[in-house]
Amino acid sequence: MGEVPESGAAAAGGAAAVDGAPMLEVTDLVKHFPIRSGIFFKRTIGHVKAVDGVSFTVRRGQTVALVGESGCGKSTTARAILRLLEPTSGRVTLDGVDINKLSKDKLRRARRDMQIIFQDPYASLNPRMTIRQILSEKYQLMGAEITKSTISDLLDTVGLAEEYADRYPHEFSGGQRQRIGIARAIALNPKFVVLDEPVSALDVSIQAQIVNLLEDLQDELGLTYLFIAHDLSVVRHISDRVAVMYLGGIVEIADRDDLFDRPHHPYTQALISAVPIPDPEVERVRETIVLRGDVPNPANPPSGCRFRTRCWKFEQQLTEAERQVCIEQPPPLDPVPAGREHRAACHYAAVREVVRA
Amino acid sequence: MLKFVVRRSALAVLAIVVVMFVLHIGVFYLGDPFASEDEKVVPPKVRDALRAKFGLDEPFHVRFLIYLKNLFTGDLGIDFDQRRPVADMLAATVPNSLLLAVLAIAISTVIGVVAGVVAAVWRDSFIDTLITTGAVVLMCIPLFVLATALRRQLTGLELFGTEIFPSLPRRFGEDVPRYKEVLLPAISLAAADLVFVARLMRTSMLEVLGADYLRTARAKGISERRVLFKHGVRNAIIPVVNHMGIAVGILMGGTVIVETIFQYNGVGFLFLRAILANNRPIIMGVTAYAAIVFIVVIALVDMLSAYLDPRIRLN
Amino acid sequence: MDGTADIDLDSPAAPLLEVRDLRVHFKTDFGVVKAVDGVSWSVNDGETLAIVGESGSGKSVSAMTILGLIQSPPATFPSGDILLRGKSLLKMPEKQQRRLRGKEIAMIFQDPLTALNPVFKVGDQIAEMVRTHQKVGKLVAKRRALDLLGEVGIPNPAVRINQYPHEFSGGMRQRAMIAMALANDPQVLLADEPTTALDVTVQAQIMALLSKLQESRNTAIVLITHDLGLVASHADRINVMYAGKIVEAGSTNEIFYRPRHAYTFGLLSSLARMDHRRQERLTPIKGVPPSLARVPKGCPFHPRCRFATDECIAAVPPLESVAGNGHLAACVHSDQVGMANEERLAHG
Repeated sequence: MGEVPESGAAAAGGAAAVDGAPMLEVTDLVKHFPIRSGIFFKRTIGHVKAVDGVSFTVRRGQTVALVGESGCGKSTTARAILRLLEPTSGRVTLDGVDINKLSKDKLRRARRDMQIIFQDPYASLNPRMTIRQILSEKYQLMGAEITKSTISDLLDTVGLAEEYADRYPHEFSGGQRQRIGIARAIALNPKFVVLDEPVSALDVSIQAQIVNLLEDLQDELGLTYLFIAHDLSVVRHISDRVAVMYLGGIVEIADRDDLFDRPHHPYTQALISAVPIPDPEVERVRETIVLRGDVPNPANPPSGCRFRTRCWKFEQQLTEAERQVCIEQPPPLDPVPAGREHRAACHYAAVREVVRA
Repeated sequence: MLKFVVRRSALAVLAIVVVMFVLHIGVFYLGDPFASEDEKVVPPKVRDALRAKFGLDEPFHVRFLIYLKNLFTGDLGIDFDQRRPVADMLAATVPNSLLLAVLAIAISTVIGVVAGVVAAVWRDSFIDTLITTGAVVLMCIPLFVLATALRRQLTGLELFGTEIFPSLPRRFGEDVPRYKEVLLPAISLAAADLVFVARLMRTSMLEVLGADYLRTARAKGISERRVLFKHGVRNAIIPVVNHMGIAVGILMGGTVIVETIFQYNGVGFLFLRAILANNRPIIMGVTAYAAIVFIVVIALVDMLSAYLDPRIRLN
Repeated sequence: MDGTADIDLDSPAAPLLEVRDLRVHFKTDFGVVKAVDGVSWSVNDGETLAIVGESGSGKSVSAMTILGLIQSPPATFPSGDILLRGKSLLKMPEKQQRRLRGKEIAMIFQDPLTALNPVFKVGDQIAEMVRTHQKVGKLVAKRRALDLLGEVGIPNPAVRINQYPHEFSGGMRQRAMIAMALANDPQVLLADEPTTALDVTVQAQIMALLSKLQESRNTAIVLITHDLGLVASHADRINVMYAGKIVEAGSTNEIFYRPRHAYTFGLLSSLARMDHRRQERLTPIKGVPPSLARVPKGCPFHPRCRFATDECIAAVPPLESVAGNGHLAACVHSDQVGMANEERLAHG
């Protein structure tokens, strides 16, 4: 990697290797947050099991999406992968290097290769610094050189004019701020970028611009993306592979079309069926699976299969004996019959088409 | 709520024990508590009796327990000056300080809350500017300046033939009713405190005025006055209640400056005289009293806050 | 009937709720902000009208004006009126307006956590809604609150009624808000982004609840949102707003399958769809929505529009009929847009 070349991030791109070798490998990642309570001295009386054994692989040049609703642990997973939170246990390897075993110094250097783009473009930029200062700080922190054209080239890459460099964040719109956040992330040509709901806070007409930009940058710079989102429409467009999370664990993981066309896990099926499609005729004939109740407390998840308290299959289709299995045994993330690399964590996984492509 | 009360009370008891421990160390281990450097030498017999009583020759834990026992039974020793039990002297002055504290805080809260609400509701208007600027000006006047000025100008003031504020210094043998005596000191203290209350209330109210739940309340068709008071002020006043409680807790321990300036026979005045005379038993007694009272009042304030704001009760 | 006797609720001719040429302007340091600039629409019993727009389109302000929630010193209403069964709301004295708020017209808001008062029990807040408009005692009101909580699908209502908002989950809070809004059987329910802050499975639950309640009570719902997917499945008619104006209006099918305004067309084209195989690239609308203090001259959308010509800058295009079935569009090039849309559908 070395020094940043004179014309900034754009020059280093070109036909970057999308060779399918594993870039990120996550194995049994666990993050528990202790719950402290007590009269005088807070004792740990339990744990919020935010991430409870997550494993997946992201290949070079791919985009893998982590989807799920609030409390599923997708954001915590992303932060634990980057070691912004210290994992409770588990292994994270980036390009063969075990992230958790790095010393503070080596970690700082490794951080050049792994960046994050946040959801809220308003909160993630320091309001007291100009854009130029925000971006230059990035180079300075990593010990890279800045030349006269570095910042303007960088801004150009994300579609912002050079004269914006000396303005303050509050002078920009949401979409522009997000472009700045993206510029900051790719400034040092990272290998791997985590995108934490990068377009959720933006207006609909702007979302498409940013999604296109992210895809272009991925092609130009050979980036590998971990895309955290709850908007399945965007996920379908941008991802190669999708993992669905529920209450701290992955319940289904598959290549994109496999997941959407042939979902096997009842939660995935309910989730997909709940996403509204902007097409009245399609909506009219669709069936919706409406889940009942609320997400259980992650400090006290149900025994066996975590989804069983809301599972429509459990409620409507299983026998008593089958239900016992769900109550007693946590389902392993096993491959489903037909799918290539398609896994679901359900004792009774079966295809149910909830969207027609 | 009950769980909260129990837990908070337990914490208060613990705090008291810790404070008493520190006090005990400070009193008994930093110099001989019964030596005095001025002419009033403690006669040896008395000193020996005191030493026996406080168990100064006993091991530490015994001494501490004796100390605590004395505190509980109200035996705080005998002061050097007038040879009266310290407890009696406290008993004579505490009610005065309590009256002063409650009256001062009551005045400052009423005026402060009203001023704060008015300033917030008519934000950026002339009256808001008047209130906020006035508050800043008042805040800049040191308490002792304010109290002295009030004393000079208003004591002995006669209106409609009667003297509203008793004149100072007190004429010998004159007995002034407490309610008159407490007025001017209370006003001085209130003036100093209401500034903070007004600003706190204004800020809190402004925050509440922008809150979504006020909009919901209006959408229900409730009258504007009800929206402001039942929904608005009720939320905005929570930090003020907190402040009020803490202020009472502090003032009950006596306020030296104001009491002295007005020669008001409260705990603070007692304390000051004791320090000047190096009258240790009183110093110890007042410190212990003030600490305990403060801890108890703060615990009560916390419980009141939890009652007003249910979000505090969780954990 | 108290106070509402002057409104003829049985008049068949007038639409239930009508907004006529409404303008809401704010005086700010940046100049006059025209949050709502000449908006007209109506809704009838049992209907769902969706008002679709992005941030700064003026959709929320128009709804809040109906309920009188826009504070009048910063805001002015240079023109227009709001009519409930033919009776003018804007011209009514404040006291009368208040009697309608929460009774004939009710509103639910976006973030149920901040929209509910944190220091009062949920049951008490619902009971307050009842007692503000019905002369009943505390016990009766509380029982009604209990019934309502059950009706909106909150389990264990007897326990929940004495709990505080922060003890509810997001979905339950929104159900409680709906319960509160329906307490007095309003004719119109204004829903301002009711599900934006909720997870998508919870959103499905809430929308299902609203549909069910609408069916049983024949309530008119005005759904304000930016989510076109939501609108496709729940609205009968749609108004598309941009920069304080309605740029297109029509039935749901007309808007989705035959858009005639460049903005609507651009919006529909830019959406990623979950039921489509991956497209090469999305088709965004270039540029950013304008600030309401500096709305572009002529058609406010022209700086971002691929069909724009000089005609578009010269004057504000009027909202006029483009298909004869109640479908209106304010676009000079509505025919071109129509053709571009045919092409898009053919290739999609």
